[in-house]
Amino acid sequence: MSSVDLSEVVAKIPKSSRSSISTQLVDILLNAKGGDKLPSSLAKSFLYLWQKDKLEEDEGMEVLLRAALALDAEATLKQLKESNLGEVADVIQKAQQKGVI
Amino acid sequence: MVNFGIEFVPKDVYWRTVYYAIQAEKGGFDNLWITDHFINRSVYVTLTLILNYTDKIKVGTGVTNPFLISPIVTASNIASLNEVAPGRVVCGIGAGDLTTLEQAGVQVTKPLSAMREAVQMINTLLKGEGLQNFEGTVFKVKSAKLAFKVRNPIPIYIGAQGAKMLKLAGEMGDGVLINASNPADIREAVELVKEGASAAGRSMDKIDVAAYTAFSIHENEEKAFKAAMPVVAFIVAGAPDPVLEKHHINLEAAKKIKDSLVKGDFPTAFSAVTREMAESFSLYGTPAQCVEKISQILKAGVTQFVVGSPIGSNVRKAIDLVVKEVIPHFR
Repeated sequence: MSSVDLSEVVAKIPKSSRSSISTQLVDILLNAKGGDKLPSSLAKSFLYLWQKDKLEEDEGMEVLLRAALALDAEATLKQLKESNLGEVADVIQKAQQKGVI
Repeated sequence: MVNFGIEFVPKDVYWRTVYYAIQAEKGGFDNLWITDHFINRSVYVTLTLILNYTDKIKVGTGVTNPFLISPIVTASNIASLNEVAPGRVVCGIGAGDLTTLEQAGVQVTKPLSAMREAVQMINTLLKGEGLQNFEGTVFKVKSAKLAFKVRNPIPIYIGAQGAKMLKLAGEMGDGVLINASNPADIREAVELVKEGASAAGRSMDKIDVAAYTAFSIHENEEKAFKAAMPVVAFIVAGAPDPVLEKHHINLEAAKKIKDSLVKGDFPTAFSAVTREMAESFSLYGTPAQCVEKISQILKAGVTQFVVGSPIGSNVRKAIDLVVKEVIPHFR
């Protein structure tokens, strides 16, 4: 899976659930251990999109997913499944197993 | 109308502090304060980043001190910060935390004189004037001048707790950061600021009086209390006996907390914090309780209420509660 493919994964997240999903992913980001492990480019994108109120848009959801997976993949996948986004979680999990994400 | 400020301790990675800063601005906070302790991330790096990701919130050091950082360097730092967002920067300065300064091997002498001189020096340099043969009792400067222009006035806030420092703030400060959370303490403090202002022939209208509280909010009062316990433990441990007695706090209980902290036994220290201690040295509770307590504080003549650390067990949710259920009561 390439970075482009993750945007396709994001497209599977319904607009109606993006507000709650983005908040849950933000909480994973804010509370995960090892915050210094977040790549600087992702941190900057995250802050920029938050400032511009774009975290619920495609670009924002993609950055949130990438960042949350980078800091706590297990919690991120669990959260997606609990939010009835099992299909999204499965795609990401398979990509992880192949080592392409 | 009262302004709302918020304080962050930059003990976590920069992007988390900046996230909360953006959240605070979106929620209508007017001022943002970043603490300055060498054990944490740099206050100026943090503030620079915050200014880059926000548009209107005013920011300042909350507070720096003249012992570890020369007032000349502080003037340069504040002026540089002001270039990032002209008109949105203020300088908060206080005598500093004795324990931290001692750890750093810095001797604190004549704190009142040091603060008076530091404020004079910073003010002079920020105005673009030079310090020539400055002969204070604590600071002596042969010659110093910023090599760049500061295009707008930068307010200086004095962090204060003791009577003399509060009076000094009234005499010299554009603002005062009253380090207290209890309404009675804040009432007394404001009176002392007024005395200082009156003695200097200044109007209180020119002074932003900020209650810089140790704040904790949660929908569940018990959780708000628990989140406040660590901060209160440190405050109790550092408080002189007369202050503890004034609040009817058992000196033996306070000593046990201090001893536990010294040993590094934080769980014992934190769990020994009582409701009485938390009521004396923090403002905690449900949103409705916080509204009631803030209302009492505002009656003292406070013009800025600062939501200080710890804010809550979950900072994002706590800010959200303040924004949705507290600030609207005062706007």
